Amino acid sequence: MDNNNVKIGAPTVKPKKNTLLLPHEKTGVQVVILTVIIFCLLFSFLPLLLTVINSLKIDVQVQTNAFALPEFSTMGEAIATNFSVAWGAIGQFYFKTILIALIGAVLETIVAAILAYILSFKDFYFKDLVFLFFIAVLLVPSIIGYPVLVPFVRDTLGFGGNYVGYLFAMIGGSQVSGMFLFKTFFSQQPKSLYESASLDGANDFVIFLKITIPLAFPIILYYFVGCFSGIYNEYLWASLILDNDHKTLTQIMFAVSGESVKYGAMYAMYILASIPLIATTIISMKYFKSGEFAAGLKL
Amino acid sequence: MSLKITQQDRKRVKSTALIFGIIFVISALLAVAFICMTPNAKQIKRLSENKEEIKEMLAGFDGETYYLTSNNWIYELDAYTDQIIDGHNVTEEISDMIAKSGDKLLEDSLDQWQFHTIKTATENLFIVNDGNGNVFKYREENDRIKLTQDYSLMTSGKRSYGGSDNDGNDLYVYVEEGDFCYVFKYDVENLSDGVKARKFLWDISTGADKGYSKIEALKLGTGIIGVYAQDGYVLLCKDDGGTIRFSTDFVDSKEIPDFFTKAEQEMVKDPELEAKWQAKYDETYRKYLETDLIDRLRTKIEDGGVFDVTEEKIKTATVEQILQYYKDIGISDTTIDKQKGYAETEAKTKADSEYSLTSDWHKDFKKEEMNMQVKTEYLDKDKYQVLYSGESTIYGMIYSKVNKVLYYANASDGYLYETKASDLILAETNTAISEISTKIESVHCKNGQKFSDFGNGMNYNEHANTLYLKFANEKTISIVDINDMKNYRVLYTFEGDFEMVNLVGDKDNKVTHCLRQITKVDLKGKDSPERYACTYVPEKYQTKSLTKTIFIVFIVLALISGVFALYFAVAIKREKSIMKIKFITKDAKKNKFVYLALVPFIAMLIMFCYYEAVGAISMSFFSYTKENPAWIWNNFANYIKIFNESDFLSSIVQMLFFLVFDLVLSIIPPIIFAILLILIRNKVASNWIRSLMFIPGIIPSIATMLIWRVGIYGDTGVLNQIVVAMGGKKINWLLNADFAQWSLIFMGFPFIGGYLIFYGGMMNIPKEYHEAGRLEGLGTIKRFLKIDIPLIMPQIKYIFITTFIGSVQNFARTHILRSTVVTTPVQNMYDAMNAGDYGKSSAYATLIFIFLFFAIATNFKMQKKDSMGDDL
Repeated sequence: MDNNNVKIGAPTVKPKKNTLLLPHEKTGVQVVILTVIIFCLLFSFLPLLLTVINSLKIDVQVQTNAFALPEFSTMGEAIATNFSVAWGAIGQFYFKTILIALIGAVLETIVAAILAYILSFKDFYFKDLVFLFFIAVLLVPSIIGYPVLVPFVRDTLGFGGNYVGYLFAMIGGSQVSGMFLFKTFFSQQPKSLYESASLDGANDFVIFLKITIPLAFPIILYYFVGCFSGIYNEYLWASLILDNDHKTLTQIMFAVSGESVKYGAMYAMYILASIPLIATTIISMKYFKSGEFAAGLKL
Repeated sequence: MSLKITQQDRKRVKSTALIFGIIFVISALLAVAFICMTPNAKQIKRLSENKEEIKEMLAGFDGETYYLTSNNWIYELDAYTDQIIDGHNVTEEISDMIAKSGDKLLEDSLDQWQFHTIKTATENLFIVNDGNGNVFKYREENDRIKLTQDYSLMTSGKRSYGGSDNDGNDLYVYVEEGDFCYVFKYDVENLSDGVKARKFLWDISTGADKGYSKIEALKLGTGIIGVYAQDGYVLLCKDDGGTIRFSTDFVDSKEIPDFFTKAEQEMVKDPELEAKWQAKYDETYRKYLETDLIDRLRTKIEDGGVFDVTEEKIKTATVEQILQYYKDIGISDTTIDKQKGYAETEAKTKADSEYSLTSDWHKDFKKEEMNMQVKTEYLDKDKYQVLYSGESTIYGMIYSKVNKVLYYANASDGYLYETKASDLILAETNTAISEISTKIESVHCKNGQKFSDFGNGMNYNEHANTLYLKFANEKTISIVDINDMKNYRVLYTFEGDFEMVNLVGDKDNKVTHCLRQITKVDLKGKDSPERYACTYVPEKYQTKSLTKTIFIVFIVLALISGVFALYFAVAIKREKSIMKIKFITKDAKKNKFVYLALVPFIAMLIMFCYYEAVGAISMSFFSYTKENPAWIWNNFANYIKIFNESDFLSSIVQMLFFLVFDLVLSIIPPIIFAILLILIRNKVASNWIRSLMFIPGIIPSIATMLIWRVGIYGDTGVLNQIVVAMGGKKINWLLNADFAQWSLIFMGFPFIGGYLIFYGGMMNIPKEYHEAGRLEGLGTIKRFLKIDIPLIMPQIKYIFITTFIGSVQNFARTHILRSTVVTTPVQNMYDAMNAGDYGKSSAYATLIFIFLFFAIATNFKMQKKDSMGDDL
């Protein structure tokens, strides 16, 4: 909305302000600023650029000049071989990984939201103690528990190397940070709404679904998107717990990139792996571009 | 709190204290009871001392295990308690006995003896071989191992395996002596009589001509992996899948092997073979005659006067030329003829010794020239039979005397095969074993995997009549019950990378002792193999883990109820406490659903966070490894190990280096970028740029790292392409010590990924602040320094702390980029975990935790002070 106003208003306001230009608004300074920004943008795009260009080339071309644009004559052949090889490597686990990340993200978000709701709005004697009990976990680096966690999940809980144990442990460990994030935002919500709702006789489920969630929707979405790409990108825990029949894309990408000399196919694989993240990127772009959510991010 | 304490409340508190007290006593007693019942909760337990290398194991008849160590000790081990019952030093005992009996012949060599084979003969009696063919008999009497007076000493031979016949009266030992292979027969009851008979071993293979067989001495290095004697036959299994079978009634093989007698007689009558034989003989004769004559003529010719032997001409001359030369210088024919005569005699002797079976070949035998062919039909398979593996690649062969079946693991298709002894006896020499065997459909490798080529892939538990099979890749061992020959079944499978030859089980298959070889790498980089014995108890016999779980439940119960009992007991006397209890009870009643709802969350937190953290810190004080998952207290050895590691200091420095750069790079460039975005006059452009900045995020982060590793830092990556184009030499960016850490830092350039939080923070600053600033005369730069940055401090702190934790824990950087020249504590921790040294890994984790805890605690404290300062 803000941007629209600026867009429409800009031509008319501009001449007026010309005389009042701040030092940084002078054209010369603006050119410098833009140059720096474009330079930064270009470098941020470097990995993506390399991926797209090189997935369209045959291996020899990738090795000789990574920056050269794909040659039209070999492009068809390159696409056919690169993508079929890439799909051969990751196809088996592609949709599985997406599904797992989706399930995991939904569960993580629900768990964190419910927990945050209880700790924000319910009054009970041990509330502070419970909160402290949860929050203390943030001080413990997750990585230190792995030597104990792996045998615990695999043998003691009996999950072996399957996805259930993989997700279960991850949700159990991640609930705190989500709760912490949500609690910060829930507590900023107007108290009066809740009071009037409970006076109207709404129970906790109704309040949670009809008030809390809609009010905090952007941050819940932010957390959900983060969870999804977090699980989708996760490598260490997967490499420790999952067995040979259960793998995630990251594991395969890591394994294949270590051995393969098929550079084109490697880049094609990254492109295929990027497709699910396009959705999350679009969501992020739409909701978080303004950076408003950042107001709540503090310790 | 308008609560009043009634008499009823006091009573309630009292009775609650009492109830908790009773629960405490009962559960504590039960916990003690269960800990007494818990024998040993380890699935695999290491038995031997660290420094004793174990060479061989043997299952006794009562479930006990004997093992021989590199120090020549025999130990007896109880099957169920894993306690060493008795130990004896073999070398000392034997040298004692030799000294007593006055036989001092071998005293000098005793130190070098290495005992390495141990075999049962009968119950409570077992035989020990050293590698030299010496055999000693030990008897177990009243739980003591004792060397009996019987022993047989022979001084040569390299290695030996033993097997005994049905009654256990005769012992057959495979020995390599000199260049040859034998089977020695001993009388178990009278070992001191020495070797009863020697059998020279032959290999028979299909000859070059049809109907003929090639006979060679069994080559040294043929792996004989089993010697069995049953029903009047000795059966040898070779590691290539072949067998040798001959009757037990052999006589000393210094005489001609009996199966040759007929072959030799027949051979002479066979004109074709005779001609061949003669041709070979003639050729050998000529060869010897020529070399010998030249030799003689060159050196000295008696009564011919002085003769110059160093003459160049003679050195290279042929016989004819030399003879001519002698004639020329006037040496008489008789002298030369005499020498010719000598040479002929000698050549004949030599040729005879090689091509006549009747000569004393035993002494002058040369195995590479001993290449005979006989008609296959002359070979008597009942006397001596050799079979070969055929189409199959065989790893591991076992003969079960109970079933009278030879079992082998076929590596080509991953199935177990059986060959009945009756079929073996009927088979003609040179038959392939695969032709007379049947596949056992129920026992095979999983998922098309193959049997291992390591550790022979197979072993046999003779007391339980079960087979141990090892599968490759999975590193699992399957135990196969072969008692019911119509229905072979896999009893259980367990994980383990053992040498199969050293796996023994008891007669109930309840306990499996294994001898495991591991390789340790010490700091100097030398591999030191270490062998130790360990015990495996199959899952169905593990009552232990359950009792342990029950113990833990009761101890936790006892602790909780103890605390509560104490609390309530104290509360009886205190008004305040009773009030509090009443209040809490009321609150709990009111909020019961809240507490109920919290249970799963807290349970998950305890299960997946607290348990691990506490577990890891505890584990760091024990030597707990993947191979030996036992909590063994090791006096802080894990920490000492870490502090003594050569790269300990450098890894810390490396970690701090990354930490400083990560903190700086995660805050300053993004803030600058955010400021630049704010400063853009054209809001449409700013909007577009912010949208565009999301797009690189579509590449999975691991892929981004891999792109940096291969595409940018790789051998043919972008940087090297640029370097080469500029005429430089390719650089290994990630492994070159000069570049590696900078390459890792540079990854992620231009480091603006996290700008959005700062941007958002700055955009949320009310415009009035800026206007007020402008009125004060602050310029653009001063505005950001004095207004914006102080106001986004919460965001900066947030990023600071998360980056701090992330950087110390960042293992992906070194791991995924495979930059092995750069080590950080986290990478070391991961490596230790991967190597299976959980104790050391936990010690690293604990150190990292302590560091982070103090760092973050200090940070919070400082922040608190700051905010307090703000308030004032």
